[in-house]
Amino acid sequence: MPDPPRPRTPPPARTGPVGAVLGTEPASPLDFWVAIGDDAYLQLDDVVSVTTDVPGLDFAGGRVEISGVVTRVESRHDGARFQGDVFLAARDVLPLELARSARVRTTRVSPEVGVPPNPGEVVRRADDAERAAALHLDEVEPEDRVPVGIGRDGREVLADLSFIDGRRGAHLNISGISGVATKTSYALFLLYAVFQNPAVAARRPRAVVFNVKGEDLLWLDHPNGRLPEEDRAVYRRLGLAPGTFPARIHAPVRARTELSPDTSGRREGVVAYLWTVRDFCRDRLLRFLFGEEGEDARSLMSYLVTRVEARLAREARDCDPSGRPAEPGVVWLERWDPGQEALVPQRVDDFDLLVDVIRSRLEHDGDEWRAGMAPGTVGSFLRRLDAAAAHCGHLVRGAGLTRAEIDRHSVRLLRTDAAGGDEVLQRAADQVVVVDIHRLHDIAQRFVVGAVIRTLFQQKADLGEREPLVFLMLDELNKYAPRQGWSPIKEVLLDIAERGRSLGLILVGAQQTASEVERRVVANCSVRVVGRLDAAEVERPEYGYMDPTARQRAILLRPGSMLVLQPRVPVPLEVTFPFPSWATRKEETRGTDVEAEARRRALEEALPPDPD
Amino acid sequence: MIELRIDPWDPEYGASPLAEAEAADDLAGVRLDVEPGADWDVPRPAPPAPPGTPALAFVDGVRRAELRLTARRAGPGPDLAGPAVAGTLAVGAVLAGPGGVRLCDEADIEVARLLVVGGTLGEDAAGMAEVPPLTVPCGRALLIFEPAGRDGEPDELGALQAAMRRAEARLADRLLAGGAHDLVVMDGPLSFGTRPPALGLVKRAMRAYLPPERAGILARLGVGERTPLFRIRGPERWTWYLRLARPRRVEGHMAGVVRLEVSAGCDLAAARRLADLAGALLPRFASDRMRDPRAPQNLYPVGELERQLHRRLGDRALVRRSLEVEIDRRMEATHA
Repeated sequence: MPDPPRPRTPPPARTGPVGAVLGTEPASPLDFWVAIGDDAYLQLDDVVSVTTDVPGLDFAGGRVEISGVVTRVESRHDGARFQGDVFLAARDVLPLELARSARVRTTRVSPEVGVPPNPGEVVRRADDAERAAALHLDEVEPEDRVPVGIGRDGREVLADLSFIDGRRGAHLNISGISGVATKTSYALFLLYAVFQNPAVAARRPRAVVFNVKGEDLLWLDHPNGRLPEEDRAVYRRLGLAPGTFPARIHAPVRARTELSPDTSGRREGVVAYLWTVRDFCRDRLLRFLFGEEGEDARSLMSYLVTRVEARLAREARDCDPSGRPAEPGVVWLERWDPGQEALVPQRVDDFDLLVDVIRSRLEHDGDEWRAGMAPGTVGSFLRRLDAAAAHCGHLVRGAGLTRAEIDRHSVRLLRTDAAGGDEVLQRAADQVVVVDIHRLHDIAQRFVVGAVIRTLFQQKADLGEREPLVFLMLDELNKYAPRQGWSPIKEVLLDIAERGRSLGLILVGAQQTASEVERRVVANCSVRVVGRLDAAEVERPEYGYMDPTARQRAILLRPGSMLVLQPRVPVPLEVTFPFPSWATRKEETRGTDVEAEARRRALEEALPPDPD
Repeated sequence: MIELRIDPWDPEYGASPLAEAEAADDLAGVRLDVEPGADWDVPRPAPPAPPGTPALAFVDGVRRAELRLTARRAGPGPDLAGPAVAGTLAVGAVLAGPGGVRLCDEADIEVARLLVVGGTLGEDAAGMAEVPPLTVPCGRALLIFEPAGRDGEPDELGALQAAMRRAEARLADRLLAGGAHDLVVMDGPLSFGTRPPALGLVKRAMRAYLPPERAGILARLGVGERTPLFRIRGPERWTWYLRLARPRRVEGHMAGVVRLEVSAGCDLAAARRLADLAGALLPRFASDRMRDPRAPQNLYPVGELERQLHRRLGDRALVRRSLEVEIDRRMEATHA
């Protein structure tokens, strides 16, 4: 796919007087109009300030400074009454005056006196200090500044880390049409900017990133050899060093193979992932095979799933009946043998055997596992289990896996130290774990997403502290946390959205349409981003934080431009961001030394994990 | 001590200054055959457009009577009194040339406020010397109405109108002094003898300057075509009729015809050159009846200029109320 054209990042505009407060439109403390001078211009998102006299105000010198952001710009002919006047003016017959005006949404009043600016007061484009004050960036601690792009005014737009890392708020959400909204690129850019913040970097943050479409994210550990020089300059302007993510790339294990990953574009440096039968039972992952929406948590089916899950967790044994330890991925369970009319021990070392055990217990009338469920419910359960087995059975294995292989091939950010059972951090080289699911069937995608994020949440909850920060990046939230219906994944995502802030688990979610995502998931995000939106979608109440102009702009946003709303600034600001400095496909790695990169990784793999 | 009181009648009542300027002309002094070889039966064809972009200026003024008053000199001495009008006038120009069409520089726009006094007080120089300027706070501004006599005009509104005409002539003189304009089009007759290339444009033929046997040519004028030049007196001027726009079928043949005049200070050849220039340039500026109630004779630049100038007079209701407040304040001060 050819790269969509990117907007150029504009140079900063001249500061100083640009016009005067209009007298034909009433000014209010919250918004006012500016008549733009003949020799100046104002554009959307420009930050302006005006100082106005307040009669009777006996502090602050009787003056109030009002600052705001331009949300609308208009031009017209003063004095024109008919459409045709414009042609008369063009023929030099009718003298008309060009009138240009801008509407300003107030963002800050200092001191806080709720008065409007007086008509005629000089309006100036804010200088760096005034702009920082207007956007409340001066309230952001220097170490909490995270660049989120270049504003329309050519100057950097910052976010407050304390609203991202959970201290004051957490979670980011990005909406936009697939293909043109550059959601994933922007999410990664934000992640990159956060990771480069010195205070964050010192705390060794982690990220789990799901690759749901294409193989774009499978290259992010490689530099982008085609990054234009001007984009490099943008990184530097934002105080960022263009670079890559230290990443571990996971792809699903290929069916009917040993441990080779199922990818097409990239082979080297990609690690296959799978779950062991033992982990599947212990971690209660069965429910994620039933991950489709629509099932109510209180339904009979859900009850049966939960019950079987609990039985598996309780009854799976690590040893054979004689007490000899089984292989690390294998369990022993009891199967109902109708011939013997008795429960017999069964070594379960692959998913089909696990399904067999479950089937034998559920089809056995009066079995504890069945808990008196009607045959219809059981039949339905088994049909869905069979369907799931067909699509994700190969991801759950047991036979022949060593402890080391299991460690290497499971998607875990925090892994159990074999020696003491303590949680230790993933190696620093694997700061980002990319989990590729784009070639999986829908049922398998839901299973992988559900299993990974639940484990992650559980581990963070057990750890009980915010450090290390873990970012979870997931596109297609409308699939995993739909507004309608219930699903086990939605439950976990809700947990993350509502409790992740205190656990240091930050959701970077994206979707085409926020209106189709569970309200509480989006509502808990403190930073909201919009790329190009569908015209009907943007009118939905989920985007109520955008004024009509912002909504119109959202329909027209070009790839590489986003509207960012953050708690500090009361209006959404348009930003552009540079091309990824990491590769998004194989061709971009050309000109960079992939071989050397692969060797470096191989070397790191061989090194012991980081002590911390 | 001059007492001012309000006369509640609408200040514009009885105003009809349009016809008056033409009324001054001496029809008996019209000389028809002054352009040698001119044919009074066939209109002179529309001249070709001149090369380049000629520079034109359109000069015009507006005026408004704010309030009618009665003025009376109280105290010892003769009891002088008279009607008065507080009025505002604004004069400016639109320049059309190589740089496009635009309003003249702000410095060339003149806004003046007058307190025109008539009656026995207005005619008494000593009495008028006692009339102080009427100073009226209005918002942040201070409006100063300078006292003025009727100066030979039949009424106060006429005096205001004459003051405006004088201001127009002053502006035209300034523009002519610059020498940058090929044509300066004045609104109305050239009452003050402004020199060429100033042109007086009379929008409406109030009086028949041509005898019946010559007037037939007016109906035959095509757009841009003119009659032969003829001379009129008081002051001495060259004049001619020019058609700016074709009338609709239902309209009379004088619709779209203007009378132009130029000071006789120039010779025949210069007058003909100006007449041709006007014929080539002015129809372009003729207004559309949808846009201007005085179309097509009220040219587009003039119409827009008037609107701009009206804005500079200030808000009518606000000025009127400020005047009333000021007069009331003076009475309070007198009684206190």
